[in-house]
Amino acid sequence: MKHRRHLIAWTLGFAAALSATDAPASPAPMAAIPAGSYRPILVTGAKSIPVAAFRIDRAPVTNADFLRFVQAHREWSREQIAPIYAEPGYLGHWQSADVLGGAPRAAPDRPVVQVSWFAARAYCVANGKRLPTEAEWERVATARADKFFGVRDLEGVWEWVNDFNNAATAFANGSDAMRFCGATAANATDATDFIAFERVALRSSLRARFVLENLGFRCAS
Amino acid sequence: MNRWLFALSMPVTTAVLISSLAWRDCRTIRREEADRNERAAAAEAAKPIRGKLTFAPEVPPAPQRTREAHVVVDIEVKEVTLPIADETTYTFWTFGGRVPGQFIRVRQGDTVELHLKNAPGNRMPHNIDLHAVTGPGGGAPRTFTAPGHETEFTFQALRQGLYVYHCAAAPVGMHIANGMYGLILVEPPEGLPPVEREYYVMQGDFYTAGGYHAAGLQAFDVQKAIDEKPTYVLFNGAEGALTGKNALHANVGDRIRIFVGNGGPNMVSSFHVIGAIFDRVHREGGSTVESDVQTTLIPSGGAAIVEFTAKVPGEYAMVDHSIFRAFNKGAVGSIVVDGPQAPDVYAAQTIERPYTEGPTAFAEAPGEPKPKTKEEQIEAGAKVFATTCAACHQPSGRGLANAFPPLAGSDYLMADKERSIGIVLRGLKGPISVNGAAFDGIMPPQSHLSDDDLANALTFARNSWGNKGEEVTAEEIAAARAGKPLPKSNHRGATASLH
Repeated sequence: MKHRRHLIAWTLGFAAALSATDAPASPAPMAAIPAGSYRPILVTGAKSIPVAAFRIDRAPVTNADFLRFVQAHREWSREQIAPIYAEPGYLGHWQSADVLGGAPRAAPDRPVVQVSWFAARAYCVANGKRLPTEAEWERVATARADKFFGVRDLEGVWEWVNDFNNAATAFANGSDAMRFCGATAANATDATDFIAFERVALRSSLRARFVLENLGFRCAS
Repeated sequence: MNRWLFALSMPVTTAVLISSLAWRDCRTIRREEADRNERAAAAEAAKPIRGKLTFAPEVPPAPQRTREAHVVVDIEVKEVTLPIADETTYTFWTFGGRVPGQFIRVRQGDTVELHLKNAPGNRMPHNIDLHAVTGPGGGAPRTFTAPGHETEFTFQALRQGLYVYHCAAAPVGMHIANGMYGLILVEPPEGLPPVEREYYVMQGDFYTAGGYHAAGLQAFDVQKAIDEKPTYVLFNGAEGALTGKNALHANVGDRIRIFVGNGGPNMVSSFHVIGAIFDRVHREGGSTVESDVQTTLIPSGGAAIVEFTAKVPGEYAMVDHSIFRAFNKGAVGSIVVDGPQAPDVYAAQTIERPYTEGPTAFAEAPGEPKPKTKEEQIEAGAKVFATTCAACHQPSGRGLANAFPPLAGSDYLMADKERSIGIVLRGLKGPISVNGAAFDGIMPPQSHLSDDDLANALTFARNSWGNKGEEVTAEEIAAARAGKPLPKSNHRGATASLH
């Protein structure tokens, strides 16, 4: 556990160092991603999916960001959120509804986690944005050659995408495709890209009200 | 009168009524009791039982049930960093916190209610595919579980056998390579034959970024896994998991049953216990039983039940007999067997001697001249004795009490030259009395020695430590070897005296 945390911290640090050298000194909070394409790890038809130009947050939404949101929108606070919109663990790492507290994961500048898809989407909408699509997120995350367009912390915590359940529906011959092994191997475009597999597997295990200790989000527009 | 009669009959009638009522009551009560017992038994059978799970190398006790039951099994998936070798750690994904996952033991026909809990701090979604399940995906699609969540899945164990379970979430190879496998035993209704020891061993191959024994936390190496070039091939998830203080134990005479699984993800195991022959092997964990097996093949994602009887004490190594894996990748475990020696099965002593008969680098060099005189025979025999006989009979010729009889001053040796020649040629087994002390051991035959060596060694023994006897000739040995009686002229008396 401790080692894994180290690893994540290292990854974060590495990503931060990359962006520090490759991005402008004080970059705009969102990165502009030019039109392009994305090659999904699981395909049924087209091997490459076109992705229109879009903008995406350089960094994941933090605890401090999300605290401001729930203070302004009480229906999304820990006390008031409707159970259909989030599991009981919603923002459970915070000390209380309005206090982040001393837990390392609750530090103001750390990515907010234990948020449902409903809450993440509401946050983005409240900020005049939206959740990125899976294709958009993957276009950034797989753009190693473009140095991820200056987008940071893509491997720190998992992140919600708007169509997270794509993996279990659109790309699959049946809803079981990502749920066990046989189907994945049959459809994989690059069976060696295990990180991409992991992301698809994680997304396909989710439901919109789930809250996970290591699942946050960022917004797009 | 009528009134009297009536009055008289009242208590009688009442008594009869009451007694008949009571009698009916008894019958009813008995019937109800029987019904109740039956219902209770049925309810007992229907009542969920919590399955007892064990970590390797322990095996849960056999279900001592006469009927099927509803068994609840709880498994928590944990992603944990643990040692894989002395100086090396690895982040394993586990069923229960260790590799292999916990052993599940149920009875054929049982309904198994499986709760898969994915610990909140885990990174990955996980599931479980049990090969004991009949149905698509083996339970995997029903148990696909996000971190911090739990799924429940119920199946009936239709078939007996020893089955692998494993995680089948994408990317499945990685989940298995990280240690997500274990065994589930579905016992036949009559159970397995009783044995003294049962153990749980599971093989797996591991792919680390650094080489074998590279220190520190090692990451999973995708390319090595795809190339099927494991860094480690291990029993029970770590080098040393079954050796040294972690060795398995048994006593001489124990019947040992090992439930062996192979999680893979890639390697097929040639499972072998060095120095044992399996009495019985449930090949691939099924109901086909084979006898007298040396090495059994265990497929990746397969299992076998092997049984053997420990007849001789000592340490038995279990290996993957694809043998570089044992010596260079860690696939070794050991079973330490305690108890009395069994020299008739396995000689208690190593006999070591120079071997000079074959071609040597100095083949053209002339050999030592054959001894001619009795003194020369004694001198040559001393060398043979030192290398061949002294290990048991001791350089002093006094032997060891209760184990090896003395030659020095031995009434037994000196009384009968012909018998001594027979013993060195054919060995001796069973009780004898030497100088009044009882011995009951085994001397192996020394017939591989040349006639000259045997003649010289006997001449030496019969003329050392105070023994005084005549020489033994190579001709006498040759005659005895050929089964002929000794020439009478050489059969002379001898004396022994103790120093």
